[in-house]
Amino acid sequence: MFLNIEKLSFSYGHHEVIKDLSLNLNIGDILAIQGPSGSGKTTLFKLISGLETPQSGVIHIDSNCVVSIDGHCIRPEKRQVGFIFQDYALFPHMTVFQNIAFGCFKMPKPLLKPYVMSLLKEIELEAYKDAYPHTLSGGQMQRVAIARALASRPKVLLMDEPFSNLDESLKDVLIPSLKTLFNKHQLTVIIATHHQRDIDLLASKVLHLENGSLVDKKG
Amino acid sequence: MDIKTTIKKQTPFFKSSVIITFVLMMPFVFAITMFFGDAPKWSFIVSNLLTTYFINTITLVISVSVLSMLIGFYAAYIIETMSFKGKRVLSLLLYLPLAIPAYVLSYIYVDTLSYSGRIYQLLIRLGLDFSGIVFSMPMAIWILSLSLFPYAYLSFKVYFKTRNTHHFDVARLLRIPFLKRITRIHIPLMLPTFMSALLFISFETINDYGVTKYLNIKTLTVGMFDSWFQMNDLTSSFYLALIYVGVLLIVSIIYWVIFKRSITDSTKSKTIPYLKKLTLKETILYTMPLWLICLLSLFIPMVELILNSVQSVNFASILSTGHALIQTVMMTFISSTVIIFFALILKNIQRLMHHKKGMSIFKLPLVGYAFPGVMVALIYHYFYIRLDQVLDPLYQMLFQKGLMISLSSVVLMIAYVYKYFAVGYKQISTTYDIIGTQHTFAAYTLKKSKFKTLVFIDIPMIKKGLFAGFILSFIDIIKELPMTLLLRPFNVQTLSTLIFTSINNEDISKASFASLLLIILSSVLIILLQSFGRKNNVS
Repeated sequence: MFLNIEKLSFSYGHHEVIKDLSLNLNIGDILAIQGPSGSGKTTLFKLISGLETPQSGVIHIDSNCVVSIDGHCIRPEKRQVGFIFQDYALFPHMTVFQNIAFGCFKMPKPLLKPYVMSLLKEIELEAYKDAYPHTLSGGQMQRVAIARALASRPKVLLMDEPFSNLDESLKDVLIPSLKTLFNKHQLTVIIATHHQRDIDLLASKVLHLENGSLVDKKG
Repeated sequence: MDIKTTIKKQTPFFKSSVIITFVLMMPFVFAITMFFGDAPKWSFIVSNLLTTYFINTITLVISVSVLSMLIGFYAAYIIETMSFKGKRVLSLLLYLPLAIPAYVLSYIYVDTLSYSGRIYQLLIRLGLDFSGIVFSMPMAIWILSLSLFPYAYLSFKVYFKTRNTHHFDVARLLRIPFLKRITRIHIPLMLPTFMSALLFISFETINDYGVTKYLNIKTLTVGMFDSWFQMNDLTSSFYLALIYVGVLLIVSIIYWVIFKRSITDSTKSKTIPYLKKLTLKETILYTMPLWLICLLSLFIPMVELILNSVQSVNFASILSTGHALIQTVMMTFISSTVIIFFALILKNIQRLMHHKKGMSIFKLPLVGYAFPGVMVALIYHYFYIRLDQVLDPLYQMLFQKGLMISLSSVVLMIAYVYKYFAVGYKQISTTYDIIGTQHTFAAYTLKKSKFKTLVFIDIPMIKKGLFAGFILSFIDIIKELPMTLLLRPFNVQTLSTLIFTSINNEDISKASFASLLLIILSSVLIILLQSFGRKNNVS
């Protein structure tokens, strides 16, 4: 298994948000997690990415143990996980090009520009390379956030309600192109959403987060 | 829509805005004529004093800014990013030094660190003697920093509370090293907050007259005051003011160059900040410096004031302080109300007109905050004296006496309005920007008049900003010293002038009692503002 989670538990004070949660995903899987607001989708993403520390459980990413049974956790910087937040969190003081290039700081300069330009071409935003985030539309911002996440070559990509700010017609164009992009990069993707239409268009697997655990409603 | 049609549509606001801007700015236009006057002491000032004025002002501004910003940043960081016992109390206590004017702090510390002072007696037993530095630049820096750090604390507190933490999470997940995250993400995102706090503290430091005069530090502001009052050379004061405006212009250009490409974060306050829970040991370690700051800026001054007042207060000083309190409250109340009224009018003309650039002329009165009180007083005094001279035949005919305006409290109150207009305007402007214009235009389409829309739609929606603007300008005005000293009529005594004159007359008990009243009044307003902010979910 490429992403393996075993008996993960997490609580805020006395409120148990994630309870004995287990999950297995293969490379290239696109999983949609459904659940009402406050069901713990974002918390689960934070636990996978390392932004929160679980009280118990084990997480493996590409055979590397990132959370071990003895409570040892690898820092977010070392996990190779991309995270696209609902608000995209583009750096407002950087251009589109700078936002994407920011994650490739180790890349030699002569290689950096063609690499970022190739990503911009993939998301069809070459013309906006010098634009600042506040001048972009919701769909454009989302594509930049994806390109920025892809630029650092993550093994797992987490997307928290990524389409909630987009209208339906834009989704029809954007989601199929994203699916192609994910397949091309062989990414394991988890999307948190409560829109059935997004799931139908993108996901290969669907699970529901209920009472802190993942449930397959199809049985 | 062309500009003529737009102006026609907003006629009441436009006419009022023209009058307000004219009343507040006219003295400045008129002051230009003063630069052609005779300046007998100017060559003396240039050869003997100007370098000292400059060096002292720059040393003071840089040192006070650095120290205040450090204290304010640390305090805001601990309060807003950590969770610990006593956080709410400490958070409030760090606001309260705002209520203590810097000149009150300066005389308390001079008194208590001098040979007969309580702290001096205590320190001398421990083998420490600070009496040598009482009247010195380090003392002025320390006093002004203790008084001004709450402004930096407030700004950084809002920043930490509303910043989008996702930016920092993303940077970590992109595997960016710690130092690079600090220099490329944290610092640039914090820069607008940092710069506005820095400018604010710099202006307040330059504006100071009470501390520097009392500790005998010759700054540009003290120089303006002295050349007018001690050397009786009004034109030299104007020349010094002109030098100040030149420096201000250079600073503004530097600021504009730095920020012309600055883009503010539009995704604020959508994230819940992580709060690090502190253990008891960590709480003591991290909050100890903050309790020490509270001790120095709040507890020691308050204890000194209470002891001084209780020891030797008498009926006569209670009576004169009570009289000063009534006059202070009356003048401050009127001035703050006028500020709010003017701000409402000028903000409305800006938000409702399509020609935003053309309407920026109505933002001119906002500059007042950047000018030292002495300079504003100088210009207003000069203008209204000349106006009275022009109107003298009319006064003689109607009232058989002269100098009707310049010898009344009106000039002082107009000067208050000009100097603190930006404080009230900023609060109203921010609240209006949040609610937008759709409600106002919806009311217009329902055939409601401009006045009815303002009273029944706008004002209830922006009451939070109106209240904050009123309270903040009120607090600033009751503490104001140099303008009040220069522009008050002979029979008018405010709490700030009473404190200052009592200190100069070595009447510490009277000064302490008046200071105590002033601090209690300001503290009540700050607490009121805090509780109002919490109820309305604003920081």
